[in-house]
Amino acid sequence: MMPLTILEYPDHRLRIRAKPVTTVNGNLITLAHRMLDAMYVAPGIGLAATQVNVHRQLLVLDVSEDRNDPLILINPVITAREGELETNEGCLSVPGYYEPVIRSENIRLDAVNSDGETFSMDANGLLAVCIQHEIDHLKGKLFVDYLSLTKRQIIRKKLLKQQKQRD
Amino acid sequence: MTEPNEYETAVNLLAGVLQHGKPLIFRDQRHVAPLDTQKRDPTPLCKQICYGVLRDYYRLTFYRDSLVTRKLPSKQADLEILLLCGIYSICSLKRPAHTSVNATVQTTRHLNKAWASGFINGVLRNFIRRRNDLEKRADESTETRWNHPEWLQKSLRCAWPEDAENIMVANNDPAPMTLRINLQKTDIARYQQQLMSSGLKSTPIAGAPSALQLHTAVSVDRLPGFSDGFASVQDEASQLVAPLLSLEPGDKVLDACAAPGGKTCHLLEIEPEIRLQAVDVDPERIRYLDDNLRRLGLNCDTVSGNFLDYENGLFNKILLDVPCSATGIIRRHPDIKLLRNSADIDKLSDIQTELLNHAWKHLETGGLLIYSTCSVLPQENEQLVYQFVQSRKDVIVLPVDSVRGNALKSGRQLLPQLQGHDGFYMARLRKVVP
Repeated sequence: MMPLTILEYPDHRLRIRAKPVTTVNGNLITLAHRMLDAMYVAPGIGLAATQVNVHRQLLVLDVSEDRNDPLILINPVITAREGELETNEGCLSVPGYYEPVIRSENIRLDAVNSDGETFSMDANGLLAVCIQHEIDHLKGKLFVDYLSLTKRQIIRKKLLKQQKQRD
Repeated sequence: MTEPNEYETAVNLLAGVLQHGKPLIFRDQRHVAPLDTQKRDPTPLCKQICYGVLRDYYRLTFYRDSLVTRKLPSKQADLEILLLCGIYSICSLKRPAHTSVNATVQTTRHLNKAWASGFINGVLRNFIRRRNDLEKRADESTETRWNHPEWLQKSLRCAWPEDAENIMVANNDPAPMTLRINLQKTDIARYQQQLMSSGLKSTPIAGAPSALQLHTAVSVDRLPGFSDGFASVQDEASQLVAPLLSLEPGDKVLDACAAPGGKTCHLLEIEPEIRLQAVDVDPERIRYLDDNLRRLGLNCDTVSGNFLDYENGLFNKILLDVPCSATGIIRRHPDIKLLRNSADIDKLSDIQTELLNHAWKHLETGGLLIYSTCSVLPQENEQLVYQFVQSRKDVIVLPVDSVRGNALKSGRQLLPQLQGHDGFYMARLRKVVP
């Protein structure tokens, strides 16, 4: 199978809102594993289905040091937030740019796992930041949206130029 | 989302030490289990860079300042630190120099200073060209030669004329990881076997009956039975302290500066049938003590509060492991070299004297007190105890027998050893009828 390609800002398809997953089946799980492969190769610590042009509420993550603790979240919803944490974020869809973004430090969320079971979990620190970043993707939102208009325009122009050179 | 950049994380952590005077402590140094996997430590590479830059700080700074003669504005302090990380990587990481240069140059983007990439690249390439010459010149000044601040070198040379240079070499070498086996639950041979089957080699240590030194340091998650209290992480030198109290069932024991509780737990492992009170001023560190007690299945009274305000009867045995300059464990906490100064030592020894006097009030006549520090400076150790003994009529100094370290007129001093124990001091004092 071809490896998945990751869409790059300012591709308008990154703005599409993902629909909830209705049934967890083999196709979805295969997709999740292909996304994990793409994420490990990139390398990244999180990837949303939106980024590979599939507009379903599915995301994969792995923030472990040894890159051996993958997490698949389906239809994730944040139910509680606490605290603030500012970290420098980067995004596989905005390659080469890193900007500080403020997120909630601790979150609780409900989601469906790869067996189709609903569960809730707590996350903090880097994992919490990563989950919030990926859920934004499912809503068609990117981390550059938190930056000033000027900064976003600069990034947009530079990435467009890079993409043109590549094509 | 992309992974946080290791050099960027290192620059931020180092800025904490160098600019804000914040100590650098990683979660896994607290050795609390189970480790919360979500709030992870930085990657091993990032930690190695942080430690390396602090260990070689004076030398790396000399290299950088020889190459960048103009002082950068304070807004660019992060670039100055990034250069230290880059030069360290080139000198000490086992990877080609250009890989280190690339990684360092890349980091300018993460710091939002892509404009500086040419500058960083230039300085680092310049360093590679002039490295031989600079290395020779670095040996001319003692601060860069030994990577220790001037005041500390002076104190060490004055206190230990023969050993000062060995101490400084040991201070800049990574420390081994030593375990204290819980002899209530298992024995040395059996635990060594268990370690072996997890692929971990270890060696018993003469004179420290519960110690096993690991051949390579690992995360505590990998230790068999760690969360069930079979073993704890504790240096060989600190393991010598608790046995000095010659505990017996029914003893009334006070651990006056207990957290994070390594020695407290050791006391209870040696003799569970004691009545032990553990006091510490820092409520957050008391939590680590409680965690350790729970993990090891031990029980004692923990009290959070300043020991100097503590009034609670008499004890027949007291362990007083006072806060100190930690100059005996610089190899575990290289930030100490940059965060302490000579005035701190005076302040510390005042506090230590005060603590010793206060603890003495709580000791029964005939009782035993152990005074210990992880310092190698006589001002906090031998001199302080000597003055205390001179100032009172109700104290005699008992010898501290051990195969390690040097016996002094009062107490015993261990100096840090390459691949061996930490620097440590301990004295045994008995209260007598004046």
